[in-house]
Amino acid sequence: MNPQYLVDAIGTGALYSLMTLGLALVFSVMGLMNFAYGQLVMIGGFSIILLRSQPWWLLILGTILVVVFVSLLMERLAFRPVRNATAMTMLVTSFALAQFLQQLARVAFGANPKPLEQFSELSVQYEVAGLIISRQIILTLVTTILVLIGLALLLRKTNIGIQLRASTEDVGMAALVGIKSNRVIAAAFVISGTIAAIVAILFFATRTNVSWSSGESIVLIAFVGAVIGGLGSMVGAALGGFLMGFVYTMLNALLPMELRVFADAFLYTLVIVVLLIRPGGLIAAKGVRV
Amino acid sequence: MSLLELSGVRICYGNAVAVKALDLHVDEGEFVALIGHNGVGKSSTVKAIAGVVKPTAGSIKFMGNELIGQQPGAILRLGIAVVPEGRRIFTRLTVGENLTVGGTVQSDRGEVKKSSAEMMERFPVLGKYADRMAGLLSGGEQQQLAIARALMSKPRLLLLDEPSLGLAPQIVEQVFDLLEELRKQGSSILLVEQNAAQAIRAADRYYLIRTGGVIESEAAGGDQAKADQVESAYLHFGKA
Repeated sequence: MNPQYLVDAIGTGALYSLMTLGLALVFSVMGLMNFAYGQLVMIGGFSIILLRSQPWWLLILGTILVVVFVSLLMERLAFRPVRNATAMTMLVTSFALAQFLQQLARVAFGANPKPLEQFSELSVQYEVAGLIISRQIILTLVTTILVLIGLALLLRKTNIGIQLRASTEDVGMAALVGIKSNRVIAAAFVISGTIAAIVAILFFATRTNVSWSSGESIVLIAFVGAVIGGLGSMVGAALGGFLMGFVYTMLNALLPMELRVFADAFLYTLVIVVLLIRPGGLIAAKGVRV
Repeated sequence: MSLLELSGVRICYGNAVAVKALDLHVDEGEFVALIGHNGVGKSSTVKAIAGVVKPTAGSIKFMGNELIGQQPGAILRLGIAVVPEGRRIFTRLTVGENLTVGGTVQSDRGEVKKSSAEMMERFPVLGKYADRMAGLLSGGEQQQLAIARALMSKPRLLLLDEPSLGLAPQIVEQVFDLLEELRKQGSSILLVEQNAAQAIRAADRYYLIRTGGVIESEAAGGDQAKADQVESAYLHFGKA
């Protein structure tokens, strides 16, 4: 096997693990599978188009601010009113919100994909021990590692992080010790929005356009990654997302040419096999059913 | 004025009445036990005081403030901390982190650290395992952690729901010794227990409830004969 495939697969796996983390975090805190998460990434993509002419730091900061703002707005206007409703109501709300944001983007930016000027700086490639490694892969890996370390530090070393972890385990008891659920849930949406913005920057860095439907495939990957990793487990989410990206890239590289069009079918068959063996996911959190 | 006063409290879950009309009070520095069989509304009473369920009638006053309609966090801030049934410690947090979240209502972070150090001194096992995941502690250690977590908010009243449930007899003794120590230090305690004899022995006063209402309320104060009599006459726990 060509080791170059491994480099590409690790890069994709890292990006997918980030996607999954953002979705899994909100699920862990309030039991909400936010299917509008992909649309946050899509909004990040359009922000990049609008801010493309700005210095890189302003582009990153602006994209994060826009996506976090929309994420907080989502929580306040759509999810808070149904927080005590059934899981099904919250799920339908998230589907409705996803559709609303998609159609809004379609109206605002048109039905045709918007071209995105390439980041030529990221296509620079280095040769290391016979392997071709692009700046984009290095950036994805370094960013993923930094986000994972940052998230781990936030969750373990700050009060809001410890309160978030307490709420993910027992939201009722968290209220009894005085943790304010509004504050903790808003914090989860800020973190999730920040991750969605980072995913948007890394994801669209290699794309030539952004479309109103760009978020659909992302949320599917994140959802399946979270499920096979183990809903309610952050480590499981990161692992599940990574495996999705890694296996998908490897399938595309290793399958015979005539079978590559069925890479998705092979991937989701593997997902079904994993769930048959471990219905709670690879690292199942207590009390969560898939 | 009593520290806590419940008058005519009625709690329903849909059409099912859990508590018909409950009256009880706890004075400052008093250790009061609420005893009764499983399913007579003891835990519902705890939940109503803590703001988890809303009574359909009656009043619950704490230092003159009406608690009905208030959120659990607000009730905690007024000074009532709960040690819930089954302990409900955060198993995926360390012992130290459990204490930290217990101090959430304290605004001064330095004060939280100080209180946490005090708890670890008061409960040496918690200090010993400060960095260990709380889920790895034994049942008795978890109960100590649940009590210490509640004490982190510096409550005026400690509300304990079945702290002996699921614990070995010698661990139950330790828990009651701990409550006795807290009482001596001036804490006000409302203990909800099925373990009637032990609760009556430990408490200053007890209320016996059956099918949602108080049927007997008396001073206890370590009266062994009374404890045995109540246990035998009303609860049929082995001696009837």
